[in-house]
Amino acid sequence: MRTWTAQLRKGLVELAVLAALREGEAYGYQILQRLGRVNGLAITESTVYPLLARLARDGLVVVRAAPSPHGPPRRYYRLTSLGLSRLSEMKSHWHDVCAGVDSLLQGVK
Amino acid sequence: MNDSTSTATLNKDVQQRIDEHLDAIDTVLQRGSIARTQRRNITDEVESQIREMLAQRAGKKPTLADLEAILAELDPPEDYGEEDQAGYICTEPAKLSMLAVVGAIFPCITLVIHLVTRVYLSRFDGVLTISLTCQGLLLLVGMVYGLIALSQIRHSRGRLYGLGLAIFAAVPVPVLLIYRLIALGVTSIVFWIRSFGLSPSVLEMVRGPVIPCIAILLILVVEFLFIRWAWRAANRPVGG
Repeated sequence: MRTWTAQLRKGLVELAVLAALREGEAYGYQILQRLGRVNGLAITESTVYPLLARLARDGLVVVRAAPSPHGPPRRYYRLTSLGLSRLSEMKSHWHDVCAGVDSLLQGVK
Repeated sequence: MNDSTSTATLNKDVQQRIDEHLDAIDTVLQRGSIARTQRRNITDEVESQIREMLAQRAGKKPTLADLEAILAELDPPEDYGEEDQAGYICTEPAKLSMLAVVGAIFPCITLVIHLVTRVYLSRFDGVLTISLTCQGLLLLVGMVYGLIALSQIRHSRGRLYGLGLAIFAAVPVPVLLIYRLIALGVTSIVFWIRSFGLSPSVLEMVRGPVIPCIAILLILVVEFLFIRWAWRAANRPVGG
């Protein structure tokens, strides 16, 4: 069961990160905090930071560095138009999957 | 790990412990063939998070104990090397498995030798035997290369491709064995039937094209099922 939930979360992590950035530009730890507010998601930094690096490489987010009061410069991530379009696609697919699985689960106690 | 522009200063022990943690993450990422720039970005993010958590919880003079408490909450470095993560950000393009390529050459050479022997050399005594031995050995070597390539490709997390070539190298030996076994089985059955002294009409049927047709059909079906099974098995996720 633990493996299954972990796999499910991993599958959702890109959608969740893109959706978290829909709220507006954010730096890595801030994105983690946004995701931390979502019950059941439990996505941690070892998943999010590599994913952010990949999203930046693929042009789905742009990065802007700004000084931090606490440590190294913060890297602020913002969705690009490509990122928004990917989010929209993923959202649509997610709704389809949800609807399909819900219909399968109807009647399951 | 980083040239800090921080306004908060950390004591030497705390900074050293942070660096150790970041170095451990970097090592794990490096093992996953993550590009240097991306490794740097990831460790910068982790450092930034640690420094921010330290500032929030321990103010301007965090101790080693404060840091250890924070590190205990964070993912251990080995979590950065999980299969899915590595696949996510691997920047190196997938490479064609050279073992699969070399393996696939062997059946091709075998086919060439077979054709040359049949067309030009069959009239020479002993050549056929030598040729068949060479063909068998070449196919066996190809199969070994193919099987090793298959294993490497399946465990490469997408960094190697060439599964088709590896299968092409690996299957000729079992495919030929299946062919031989079925042919041998059908021939034995035909001889067995003939030994019963059956009526001429039945014997005519046995001698006619029906039995070879059935044998060919059987060979095709079994070979198809075997190759399909091999392809599916090769494509099955490792451990799945």
